[in-house]
Amino acid sequence: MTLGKESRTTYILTNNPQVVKVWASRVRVDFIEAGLVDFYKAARDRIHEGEVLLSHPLSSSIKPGETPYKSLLIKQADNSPQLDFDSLDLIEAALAATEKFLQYYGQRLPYYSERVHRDFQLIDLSVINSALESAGLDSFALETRGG
Amino acid sequence: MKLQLGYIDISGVEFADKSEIKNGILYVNEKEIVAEVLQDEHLKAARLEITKPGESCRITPVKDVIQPRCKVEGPGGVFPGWMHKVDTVGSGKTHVLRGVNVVTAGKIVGFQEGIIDMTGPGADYTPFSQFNNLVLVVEPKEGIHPHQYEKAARLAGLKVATMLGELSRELKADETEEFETLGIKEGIEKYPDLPRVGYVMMLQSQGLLHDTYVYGVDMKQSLTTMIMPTETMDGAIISGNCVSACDKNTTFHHLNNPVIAELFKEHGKTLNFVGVIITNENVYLADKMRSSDWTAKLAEFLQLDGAIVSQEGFGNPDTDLIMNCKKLEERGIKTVIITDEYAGQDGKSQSLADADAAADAVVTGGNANMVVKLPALERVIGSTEFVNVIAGGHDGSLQADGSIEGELQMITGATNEMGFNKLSAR
Repeated sequence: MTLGKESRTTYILTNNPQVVKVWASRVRVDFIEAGLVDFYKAARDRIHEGEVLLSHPLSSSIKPGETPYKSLLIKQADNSPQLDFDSLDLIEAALAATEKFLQYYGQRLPYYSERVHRDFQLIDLSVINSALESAGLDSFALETRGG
Repeated sequence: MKLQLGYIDISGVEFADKSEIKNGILYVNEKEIVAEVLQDEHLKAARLEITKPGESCRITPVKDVIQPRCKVEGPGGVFPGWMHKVDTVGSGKTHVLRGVNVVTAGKIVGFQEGIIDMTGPGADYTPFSQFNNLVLVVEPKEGIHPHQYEKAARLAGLKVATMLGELSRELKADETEEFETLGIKEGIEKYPDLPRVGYVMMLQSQGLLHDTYVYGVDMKQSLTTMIMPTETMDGAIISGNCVSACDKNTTFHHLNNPVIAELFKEHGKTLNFVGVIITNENVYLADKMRSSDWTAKLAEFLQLDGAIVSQEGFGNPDTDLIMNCKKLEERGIKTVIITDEYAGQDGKSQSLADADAAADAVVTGGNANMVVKLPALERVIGSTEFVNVIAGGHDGSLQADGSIEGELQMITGATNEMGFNKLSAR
């Protein structure tokens, strides 16, 4: 596997077990077992520490009140970290959207069967594959497409 | 580039032993068409069903809507890159079956397909209730991946639309319209005093199951580029995605883009319609920067005075929309954006996931979170099995009596961001 030049500083933050399964042996994957609100808050903490978003937090055109899963491509902070305001704006907007959507369902997601969970995981996996492809880190994305 | 569209009016669809068009009726041999569709090794079964405006009928889960067309004069064929070679289309003459569509239905990822009601309150929200619909219900073979199924269903729909379009090849059109795009120099000389207006069409491209294709190329892989408006009328752009039903640009929308239609209407009168820039909506943030830079660069090169930008989807694409708008405005190009809103069920929340003061001219397709109630209908084509998980549905959306309560986003085309819908604030 040939990794792009970003490989040593780039990693995946996810709450999607499918992404861990597919990618953890090849790139750094930080798994957080959390709902979407707490997941975005954890990502925001990392942005506060100088990390930078490389992929969009509201991807896949599935509303955050609908999907339980999200993966982000993140660039580690360098030696003199500075707050990246673009990343902060994006994560705050994602958080606001999630809280907006969840309020209609009593702060919880609808009941989903295992099959629907698998579909949500697959969509999230395909979106992070797409980001990895753009970042040049996708040597294995094609063979794992479709989960 | 000049294209004539010859409209063949279709007032009804019926099954018959021979596929043909006679006196405005489309006769369809189901066996022949299904046999062709099942050539695809990924599909286990396929069937056709017919429904017409006003019938007590619900179609779900809807994947795509495609209008049958046929190229009768000029280079290339419809849906280039898929049904024909990639010769440049958009000139000559194309027949359009007006009044009938092919609707593909099948569960690919349950939450990203939609509902079309042919009568009742739901019918008011979707333009597709106004057409005779030939619904192609496809079932995948066991064990194939969703993206293989998506592709098989996509190709099946294009194939059927192409076969039906072919039936009109020797017919005389009921009405003919002509569209022409002038060269840059010619346009400036002909309309020296009219404002130069371009259309920036954003295409969904977030990765597998969220892609749009241009001449067979996945738009995710492309830099921002240009397309002649008449090329879209020959199916140069097709939908290959599963996104929320309400703001998905189906292949029908690409063939009948209302922004292009209106710009052509005003061309030479109030404005000079210069051309169409197509750009993508990738998830990787560097791609967004590059693509929006290229949008602005091409628009500046075309010396546009004004631009209309349309998007597809919510969230991630809002960022591209605002980036495009900002960068165009920074170059002095007056910009109008077309979007829809996710403003919450009460309509009081922030509508878009991104915003900027430069976006001071906005056309909205409506609030996708608005709650609608759809009564039970007598006939269901497909299955309502997925209604509770469809985007906009919730646990309990499908009620015991067959009625549905959920958000507008469940309905195919309800808040279309090209403006091809019926919601209005007037």
